[in-house]
Amino acid sequence: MKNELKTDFKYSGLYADWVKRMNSSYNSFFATESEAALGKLEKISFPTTKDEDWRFTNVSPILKAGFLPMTKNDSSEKTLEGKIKTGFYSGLEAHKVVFVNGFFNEQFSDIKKLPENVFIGSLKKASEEIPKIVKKYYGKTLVNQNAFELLNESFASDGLFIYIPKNVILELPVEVVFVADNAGGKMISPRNLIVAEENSEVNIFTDYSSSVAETYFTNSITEIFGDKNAHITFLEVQAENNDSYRIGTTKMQLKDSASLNHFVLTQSGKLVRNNLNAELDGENIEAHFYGFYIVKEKRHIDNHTFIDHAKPNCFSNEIYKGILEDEAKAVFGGRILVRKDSQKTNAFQSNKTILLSDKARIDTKPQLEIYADDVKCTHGATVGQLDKEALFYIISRGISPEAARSMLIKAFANDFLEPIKLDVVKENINNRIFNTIEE
Amino acid sequence: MITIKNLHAKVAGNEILKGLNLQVNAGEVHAIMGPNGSGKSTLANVLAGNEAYEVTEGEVIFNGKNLLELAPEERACEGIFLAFQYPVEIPGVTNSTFLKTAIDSIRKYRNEPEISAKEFLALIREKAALLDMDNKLISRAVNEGFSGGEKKRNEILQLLMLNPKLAILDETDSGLDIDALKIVSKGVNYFRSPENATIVVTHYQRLLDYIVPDFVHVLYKGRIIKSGGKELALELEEKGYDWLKTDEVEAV
Ligand SMILES: Nc1ncnc2c1ncn2[C@@H]1O[C@H](COP(=O)(O)OP(=O)(O)OP(=O)(O)O)[C@@H](O)[C@H]1O
Ligand SMILES: [Mg+2]
Repeated sequence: MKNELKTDFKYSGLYADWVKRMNSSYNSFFATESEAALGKLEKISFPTTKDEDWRFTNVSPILKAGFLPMTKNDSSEKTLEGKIKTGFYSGLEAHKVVFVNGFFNEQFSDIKKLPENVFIGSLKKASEEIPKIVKKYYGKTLVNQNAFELLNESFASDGLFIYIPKNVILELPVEVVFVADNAGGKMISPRNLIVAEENSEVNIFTDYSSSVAETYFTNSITEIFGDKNAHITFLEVQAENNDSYRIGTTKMQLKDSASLNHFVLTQSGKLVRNNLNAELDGENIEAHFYGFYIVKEKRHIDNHTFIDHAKPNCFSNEIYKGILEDEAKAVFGGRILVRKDSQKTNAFQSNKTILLSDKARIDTKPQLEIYADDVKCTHGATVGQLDKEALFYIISRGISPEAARSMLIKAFANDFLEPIKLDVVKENINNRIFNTIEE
Repeated sequence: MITIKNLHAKVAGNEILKGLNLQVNAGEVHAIMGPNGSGKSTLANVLAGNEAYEVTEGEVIFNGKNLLELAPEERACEGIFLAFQYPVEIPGVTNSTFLKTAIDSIRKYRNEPEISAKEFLALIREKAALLDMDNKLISRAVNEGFSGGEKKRNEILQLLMLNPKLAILDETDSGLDIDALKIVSKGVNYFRSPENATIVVTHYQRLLDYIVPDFVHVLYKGRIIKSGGKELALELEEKGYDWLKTDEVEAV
């Protein structure tokens, strides 16, 4: 039986059959990339808790489950309309892009008229229409790939592609809904690529959700390139169901004077591991990384970030915060590397977690490696309950304890919400955070 | 207004209040003085309902109600207000949101409609002006990054906005320069009316030049050991507490 696969489950053995079932939904671009990846995947093993970077996150349940690669025909698109509609921010005018099980869905997407040479939509389609551009960037942030990255590359066949050419400021934001549907027992491998060329600007809001409660695995890779003086906002909401697993890899590369505001909100999922790497490969870059996680029951969230200050005069600001309830577990690994010649680096990192229960737990590990001498780097981590003195102060003004608690939680989330510039999005994210806490 | 009888209270296992009696009537201002650690803030916190303080004996009747049976937010809604000795910073919550939520909670308790945004704004502007407070402080997070004096002024702003029946000011004068002291006193005097009452905890007689008390009490080791008129404050200023301590020892 399919479900009785063991730990030494070999993904490569599934490839030929999967390709056959993918049929015309698979193209030669991905097939070529896959070939190389499958070969490498054979030779390395998946991380275990013996690997320092995975010490607190045990991925064996994912491997033991033996999720099978998703094929396009597996989805039942017709029932999805409602789910997709609620995935979008109401009242936001945007280019709307929909992916079902990682595959671009034309029917539910609504991409408005685009400036010349801008591409928004399917990476598969782009790899056929503008292969030169895709090849220039695809996989270029990936070095020393771990097994999950190779696994994505082995079974990737589509994903989000956004290409903003030089000097284009994309007025409307791009909203992307990724929905898993009829995905029980399957592995979804979205492969996303965002390219913002010199002097361009783009705002992207993504949302991952599930149409029904079922156990599946999302193994995504998102690469983001910001060339000179490009300005990128990228927000990712992780709202997949609480039986789902997720390994999310985000790799970014920024050049001179680029700016980035990256947000990731994790509001659900049984086991979520986010690997975020940013290479600041230019001077005068300003990069902000905001994370917020709400974890309940026995669920697990792990954010591992790595900010590489490869050039001088850059500013990075990383604020990850979370609220843990019940027996939830969270992990934060924050590595910052300031290379030898990266003088005048200014790097700030903070991880703050509120534990609303005695049994919740966070393992936080800042890791600063500084090889330049003229730098400013600070980091801090705090773990605690809601401030009792502040609670009493608020209550003593006539406000109920429940309202006082939510006031403090709101205040706690403010670092995440405040930098979201679009009010519609801010309001929506605010509500999501509160609804999740109050659920 | 409030009658406190034989009040005993513990903090962290230590008995701090040891049989305190006090009666405050509407329209009165009572000053409570006493050496550091004598229990003044403990009394204030017990009245406000801070759970860190455990009442072990005694009763407190506030406008006919058993105060000790009410939750802290109910006490506030009934009209108790404590200006904290150390106001707490609440990053991320603006002063105006905080105050509007408080006013609406109190109104709800009294079955009154919420205050409109317009009415609220007019009210807070008026009170802030009275206290010479910059409008910027109103839109900032509650007490966050406020100077010591600004925090105290902010307590008085809250007092005027919530307009309670009994105001307990715990060392609102400490850390104020003379101009700020005058402004804070102006706020308190503006608040004073025949319908409400004020308990002023202070170490300094100079505050009482501006907020003139009807009674002065000395709290020592958890009990009121001497009460008098405003001239008692002058006497304390001159002689300190030692002469009273001797009295008390003899009395025991
Ligand atoms: N939360 C607490 N935990 C432990 N001890 C406390 C706490 N609060 C007060 N105490 C102790 O209770 C005693 C009385 O403190 P309180 O703050 O009431 O004094 P006070 O008269 O207000 O002094 P001050 O003039 O210095 O403000 C002190 O010995 C103090 O250390
Ligand atoms: Mg005190």
